Amino acid sequence: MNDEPNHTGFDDDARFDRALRQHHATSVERVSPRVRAQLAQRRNAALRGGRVAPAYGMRYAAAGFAAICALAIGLQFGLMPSPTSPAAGSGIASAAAGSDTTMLDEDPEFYAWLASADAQQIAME
Amino acid sequence: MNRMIRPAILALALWPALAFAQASPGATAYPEWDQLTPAQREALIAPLRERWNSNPDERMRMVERAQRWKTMPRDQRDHARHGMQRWEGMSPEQRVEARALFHAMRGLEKEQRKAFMAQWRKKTPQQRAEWLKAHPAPERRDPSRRQ
Repeated sequence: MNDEPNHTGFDDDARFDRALRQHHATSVERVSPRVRAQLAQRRNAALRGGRVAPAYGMRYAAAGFAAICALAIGLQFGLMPSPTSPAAGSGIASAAAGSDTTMLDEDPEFYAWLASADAQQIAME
Repeated sequence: MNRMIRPAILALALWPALAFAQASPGATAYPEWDQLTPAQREALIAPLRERWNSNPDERMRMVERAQRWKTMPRDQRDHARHGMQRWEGMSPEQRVEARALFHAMRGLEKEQRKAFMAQWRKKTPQQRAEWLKAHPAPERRDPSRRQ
């Protein structure tokens, strides 16, 4: 009585195993000879204990660094104040309190003269 | 393999430049006026409104100067902005001297200006102070006297 389910289970496992192996064999047949040769070469190298692809480490390092850079860019954009944020408004306010009123303090021609060569020579230091 | 590695190395090499460009002040540029929020526009206008309301005698000159800024050629306007930055860094004494020298030199021909500057450079501090006392710039708060 108790053996029946186990026996049936064993048959199911065997049938499943056979089906999988068949699928695997079919898939291997579809792999191109070139890829199969590369796989065989890498398998042999692995069995010898050699390094199959020394550049893999470099590739993973580059990919990791690129991911970190992308994350940094994302964070930077995320932390930038939006134009509607109060911080941006206060920054504008402080800037406006200075230059905008200074702009009308004197004639613009006078300001232009202050930047001229004549005024630079006299220096006012 | 190299096809993947080379672009990655190039990207890594350019990364510091990209990061620097993003960290520079230009990266925080604000949008055009039309795209500012009402609160930002209000923040920009507020100092001007306060000054306008608290200085009735200056209103005419404020309008005149604003119109002159507007009609100035772009290169001259940039020049004036540089001069304005210099003005903002000046002490009160330097400002008095600058205004007096500007008004003394503004009507002179090129050769006359050169001669005036040569004389000015030869003056001692004491002589300069005496000259400034004798040739002050027009008062800023006198609407009848154009600067």
